[in-house]
Amino acid sequence: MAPVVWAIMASFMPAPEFTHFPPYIIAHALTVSNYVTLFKTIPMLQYILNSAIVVVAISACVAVTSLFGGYVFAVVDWPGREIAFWCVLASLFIPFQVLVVPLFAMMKEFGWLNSYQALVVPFTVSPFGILLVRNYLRNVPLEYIEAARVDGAGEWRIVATIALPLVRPALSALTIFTFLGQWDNLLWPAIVITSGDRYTLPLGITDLAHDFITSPNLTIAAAIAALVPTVAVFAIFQRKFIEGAALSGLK
Amino acid sequence: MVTEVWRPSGRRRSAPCAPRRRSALARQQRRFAFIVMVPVLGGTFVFGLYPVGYVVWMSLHRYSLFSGSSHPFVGLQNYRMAVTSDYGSFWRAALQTLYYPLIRLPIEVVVAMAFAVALRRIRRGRQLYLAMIFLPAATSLTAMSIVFGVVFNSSTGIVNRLLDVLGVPSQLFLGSATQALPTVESVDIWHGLGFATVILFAGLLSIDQRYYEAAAVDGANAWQQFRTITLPLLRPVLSVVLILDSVYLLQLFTPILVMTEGGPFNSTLNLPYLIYESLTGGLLSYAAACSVMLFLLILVFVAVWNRLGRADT
Repeated sequence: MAPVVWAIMASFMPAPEFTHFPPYIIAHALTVSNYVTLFKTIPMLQYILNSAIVVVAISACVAVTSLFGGYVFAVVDWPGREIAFWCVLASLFIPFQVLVVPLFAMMKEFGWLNSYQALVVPFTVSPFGILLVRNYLRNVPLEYIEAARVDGAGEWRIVATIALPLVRPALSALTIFTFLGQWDNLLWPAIVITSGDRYTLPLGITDLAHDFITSPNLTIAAAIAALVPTVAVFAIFQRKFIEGAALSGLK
Repeated sequence: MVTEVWRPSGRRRSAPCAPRRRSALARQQRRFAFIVMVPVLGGTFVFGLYPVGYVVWMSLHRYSLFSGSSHPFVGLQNYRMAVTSDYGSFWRAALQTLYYPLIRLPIEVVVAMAFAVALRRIRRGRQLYLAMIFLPAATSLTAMSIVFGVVFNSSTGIVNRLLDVLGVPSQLFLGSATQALPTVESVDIWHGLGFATVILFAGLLSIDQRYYEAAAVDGANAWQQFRTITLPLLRPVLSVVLILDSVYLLQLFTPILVMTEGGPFNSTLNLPYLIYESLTGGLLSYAAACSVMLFLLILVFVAVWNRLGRADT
């Protein structure tokens, strides 16, 4: 934890204290001037907004596609289900790093470079999420759903009234992980985004760290600004988060 | 168990209703499945499976970004370029791709295991310790790479100033060809240790306490208990941790871009960064060939860990 605590404190240190000798472990004077300068130097608000749009869009899409996809794989009978399921399973095992080059070429062919679509659309279906919801629903007695069907409830209603409440814990864990993972995504934006007004936060602060290597007070403040939402999410959902991580090893 | 009521193979109890109504229901279900599966499978194919074929295709052609231009078939030329010529330092990158897991995995197995074992002995406030250990995993790796970059900065970083106070000469860290890779790796170890600890801890909790009680009755000390009970029973979980982390580390990118951009003198370059560099430099087919080789490397790692996890069980 020490690096986080130090960094938060350092982000409020006036610039001279950064190079003072002997070094200050505890800040002597506290100031918000680093943040003020930061927001004046680079369009931080724009970066934060871009990141928020992308992350919220992806998380929402993943939750919806995982819910419906997992439900259809678990409790709906349809021809070709086995084969389709193997396709989803196969795509789970393909490392993203291998897909970067062809996906970039596709984005270029679609004319999507420097757009929100390029940042969002490739991540809207999560094989992991589908698998998670499917496994959750497989442990539910099917009688509930059969009974609802006999009573005339359509599949959409069943998803909303029976499946959704059942898989809510899985969906919320999935959403937390999607949020944190995408908030921190650097590789993909670094490839498809070249113009500053579409920069996401990780890309923006990385650029800043490279350009202002001699102003550690600024880069630290930027890093803390990017860190706050993730740590806040962790603090709120801490228990759920740790349970989710523990699950990934037992599967 | 509820799972026995229904098996996923499609055999299910028939609903108690008239045949005509049942076929109407089945039709309704098929239509619903179709509506849902078109976007889901469409997304899986277009952004998950099709690109795998595309990357292989690209690696065998001279792919050009200009629309309307042809992409002539060149066979293995891109691979030959990677393996034989000095351009892009392929071998250097490939070798260093392996360093990242080789540095981290032993540390992780020992330290995360120690944390997990210690956590199990703690009775009071366990949740708090767990949260503290796990917090780094919840931070943004990009942001923390920046922080570590500042902390390890050779002239202004706090680590060097502290070393100075202790009378140790300043180190170059990220500026040195030998120290840069371990320094880059340090942020990632710090970031990833919590995750491994939590998974191992969950594995420990699932071991039946009676084994330990029986061993204690037989007079086994703590180390013997660890070696003869914990380690063998934890083996499957350990192999999951090793697989997940190897796959992740072989793709390590963020701290490298943030802290060193592959330098100094390519000393932190790995295949993912090489792919990124040649991709943004417009050498798509070369990057594609490197991607295919990285994929094979990852598959080899997974196969080896999987085999080790299963051995003598």
